[in-house]
Amino acid sequence: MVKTKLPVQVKTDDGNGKITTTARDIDVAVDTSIFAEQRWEANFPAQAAHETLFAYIERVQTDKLIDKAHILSNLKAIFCFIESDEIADFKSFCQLFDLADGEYLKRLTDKIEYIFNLVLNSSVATSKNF
Amino acid sequence: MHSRELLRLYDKVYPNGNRNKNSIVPPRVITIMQKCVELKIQDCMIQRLHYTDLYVLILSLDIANIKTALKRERQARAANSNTDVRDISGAEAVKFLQGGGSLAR
Repeated sequence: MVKTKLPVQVKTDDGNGKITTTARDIDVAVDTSIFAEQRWEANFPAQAAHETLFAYIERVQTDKLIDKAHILSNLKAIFCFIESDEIADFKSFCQLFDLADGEYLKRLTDKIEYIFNLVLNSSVATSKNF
Repeated sequence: MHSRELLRLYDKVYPNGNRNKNSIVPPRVITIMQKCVELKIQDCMIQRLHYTDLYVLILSLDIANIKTALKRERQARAANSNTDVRDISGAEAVKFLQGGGSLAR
């Protein structure tokens, strides 16, 4: 497993009407084993019925869909690939990101692209081997 | 790319299958786990291998098992028909075809 950091940004109300934005990085481990596919099937069965998680990542990269418009779809895949003590389920995972902040969103999409490249290029089996 | 290579491997194992290439159902996790148990793949390998590598490993082992079974079946059929079939090297085959040798043991 490759360990990396995922940028999160959370807005909270301090009780006096003031909104505080907290930006930090959480430690995550990228899991490319069959258990990533298991999480894909368990959490997103409608999409898993049409393609595997890895086929989805391939298609996203080929069609250049790693952008702000497709951020929620990409977060589904990222959720399946990463393991962290700070992530309980997909709902709480989505609450870690402030998608309204353009600058933060750029950092997040860059990290998503990095993880997708890692997932696709960490396999030993390639077209050259067959 | 990974999916296309896996489809190619499927064709190697099931050359006369009726599968429609455009509508193949991706293997389910349970199916893969069943194959891991059947092929006695260790759990540490299941945990650590990339999904694609595990899938390729399973298909490779399946292909090897099928080839072994086919070879055994050919040998059994040859034994029943009193025919001795043995493997020869490329050099022996060329020599025989050129009329310069015998393949008798």
